[in-house]
Amino acid sequence: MTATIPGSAAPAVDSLQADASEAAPGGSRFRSLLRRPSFIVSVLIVVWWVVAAIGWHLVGLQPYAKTGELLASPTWAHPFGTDNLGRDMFARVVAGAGPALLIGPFGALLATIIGGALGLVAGYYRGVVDTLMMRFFDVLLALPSLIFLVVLVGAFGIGPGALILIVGILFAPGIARIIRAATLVEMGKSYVTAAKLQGERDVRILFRELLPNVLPNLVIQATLSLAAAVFITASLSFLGLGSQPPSADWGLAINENRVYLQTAWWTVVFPAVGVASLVVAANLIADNIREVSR
Amino acid sequence: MITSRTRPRRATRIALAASVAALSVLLAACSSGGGSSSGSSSSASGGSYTLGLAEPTSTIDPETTGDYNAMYVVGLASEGLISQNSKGVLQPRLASSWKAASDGLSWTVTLRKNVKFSNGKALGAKDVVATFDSIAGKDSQSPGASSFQGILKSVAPGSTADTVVFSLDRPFSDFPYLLTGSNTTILPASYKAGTNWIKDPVGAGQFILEKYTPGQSVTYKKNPDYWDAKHVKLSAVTINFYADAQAQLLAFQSGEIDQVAYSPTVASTLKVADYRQTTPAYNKFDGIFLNVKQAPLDDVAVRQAIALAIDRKAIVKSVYAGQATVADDYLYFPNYAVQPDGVPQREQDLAKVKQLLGGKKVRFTITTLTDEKTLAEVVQQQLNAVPGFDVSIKILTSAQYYADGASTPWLNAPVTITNWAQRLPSQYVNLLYKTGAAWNASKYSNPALEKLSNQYDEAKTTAEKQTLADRIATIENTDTAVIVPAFATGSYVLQKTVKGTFSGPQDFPGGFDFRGISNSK
Repeated sequence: MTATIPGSAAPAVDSLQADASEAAPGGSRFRSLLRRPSFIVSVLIVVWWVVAAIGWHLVGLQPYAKTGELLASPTWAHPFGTDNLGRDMFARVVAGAGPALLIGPFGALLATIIGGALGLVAGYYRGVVDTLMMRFFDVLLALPSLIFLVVLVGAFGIGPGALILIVGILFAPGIARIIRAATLVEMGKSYVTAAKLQGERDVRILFRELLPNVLPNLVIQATLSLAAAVFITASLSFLGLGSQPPSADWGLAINENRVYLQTAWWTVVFPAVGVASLVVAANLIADNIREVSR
Repeated sequence: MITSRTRPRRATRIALAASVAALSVLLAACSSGGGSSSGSSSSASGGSYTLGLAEPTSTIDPETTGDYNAMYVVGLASEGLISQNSKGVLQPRLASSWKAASDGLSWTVTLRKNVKFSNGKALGAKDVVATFDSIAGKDSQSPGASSFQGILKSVAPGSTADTVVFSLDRPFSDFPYLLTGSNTTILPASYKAGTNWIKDPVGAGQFILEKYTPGQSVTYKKNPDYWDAKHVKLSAVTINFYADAQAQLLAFQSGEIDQVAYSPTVASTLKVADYRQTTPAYNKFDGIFLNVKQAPLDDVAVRQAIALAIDRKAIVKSVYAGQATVADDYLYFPNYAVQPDGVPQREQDLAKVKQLLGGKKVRFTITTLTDEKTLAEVVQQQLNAVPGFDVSIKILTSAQYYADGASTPWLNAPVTITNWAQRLPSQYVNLLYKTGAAWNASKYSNPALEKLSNQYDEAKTTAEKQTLADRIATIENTDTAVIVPAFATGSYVLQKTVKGTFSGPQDFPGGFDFRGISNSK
């Protein structure tokens, strides 16, 4: 199981340059997005999982209790069947959105903040600061992501806070590289020169002038990071390095039930569909945003 | 699009393919015929047998290993004095007989004559003495030492060349059972504990270890000098190493290995009726150890409430796939000769639980290792379904759970689940209940129980033992320092090509006995 860190596959800087310079106005972009079925469906899927993660407690689902026979196949009473302990797989898949959406979004947010800030600083100041940062990020990005992740887990542990931090550290370099590239494009434009001539402070130029102009790239990277983070956290749980039993985490469920794949496919397929739907939906959202930003 | 030029080429290809197919069938038939003839010759020799294990994780030293897989690797090429069959009855192996002295303070074991090690040297009393001196000596690092502590005083050659005398600190009527314990295979007197046995795998077992390939397999050939070689039909055994149970199951389904351990996964995946199955034999229990010194478990009513809140029959079904017997929180395996009487079997009784808790909210964490994950989850599931309990679980790797040091989780966490291999009832008292015992995870103490256990060991008549067993079981059940939901059995599902019956379980008490087994594969 591998995951691609957003931005690690050398972004097409030229296309980004073109993207930023020819971007449509904000309202127009949003209306374009709403006209795209794949965007709407993807957003609905993500919203469904967010609602599931927050609200499963409220509708009487019992993901941890024995509510049926062991390894019962899907029926009306248990639409996703039951697992080897008689737990309802539908309840567990719905509740499994919780762990997936606890680590992924917060980790992606942390990565976006760190990566965005460092990318802006590197692109704005260039010189030694830029060189040192980029070479350091190159080293991090050269490491195989899952092995790097396992090392970080060994160092920081598997608590939710630690996993959020780890996802942030893992994804920040890729985002920083892309934001740096976008910043370099913006640096050649007259509004930056004008701001400097007006004597604006560096912090203001960075966050009031440059940030709004690289924001579409940042949003795209944040969304891609979310998808990758969900995938990575599921991978960690699959390897036994994330959520622990009796958590309904999707990756953990796939690992625990894979031995029953021949006789109880539903114990593996539905959690896998959970991971896949969330990851694909987040990627499609990012793709749509990228396309309307051109 | 088929053109006039491509048609003949295609026809040629079809003809060529048909010829190849016909030739293949012919060759396969010849090969099958050859296999059949070699099969019949192999059948005459008993054929070969392949099984799967996880690779041992540490150096293979017969005297110090605690790893089942390492014991299996050693067990095929070595042998102990006595073993147990599937019903727990003692079977003579390298020993031909054994007898207690009239005062019960010594046992004389007579060795078989003309037994040889695989290096051709004779196995004698000095080898037996050296082996037990090493296992039970003061500086022993052997897990098997615990069986003999406070019981075995010394081992010495007997009055004749083929006898060995075990002198005891106190009478112990079940002493021969201790000789079936772990790490008790007889090694040459020259063997030094701590060495890598694989480099010079000498033993007096049914097979001779030919090759150990790390990460892959171990191959054995039949030991022609084995004392009962005529009943060892297999000419060779191979152990393949697999990363996990699923890989073993797939290997079994593909016919790559001839047996797979019965488990809930195997039960749900295979149609067991299409295969053969070995006789289930009791091999372990998974105990829930409650620290009686820590609140809220220092209250015996809380401990009893936990014991009454769990559904043992459901545990047998879901955790052991039916391959276990419901237990009653005392440690007398069902195949042991003396069975306590008069202790009512605990059933799930939620009204009684409510009464015992008296409105109290009981909150604790069950700490255990990955192997016990399913039992921990089921116990948590059952307890959390009962008002008054709030139970969480913490699953550790084996290395974390059994970590070295004074604060090791398996002996310090308030509630733990640990599995124990089958032992004698009094051994469990010495190891798990005795005041200050090294493995007393419950921190339990009851001098009366210890006194009764010692009296039990000294008892000579069955009636005397029965009375004492009833009292011991009552104390263990009432005080509930260890909850024993079930006694588990182990068995193997075999390919139909495997003929014969395994006389005992494939573990150290069973002595890894392949006599009478053949394979027509």
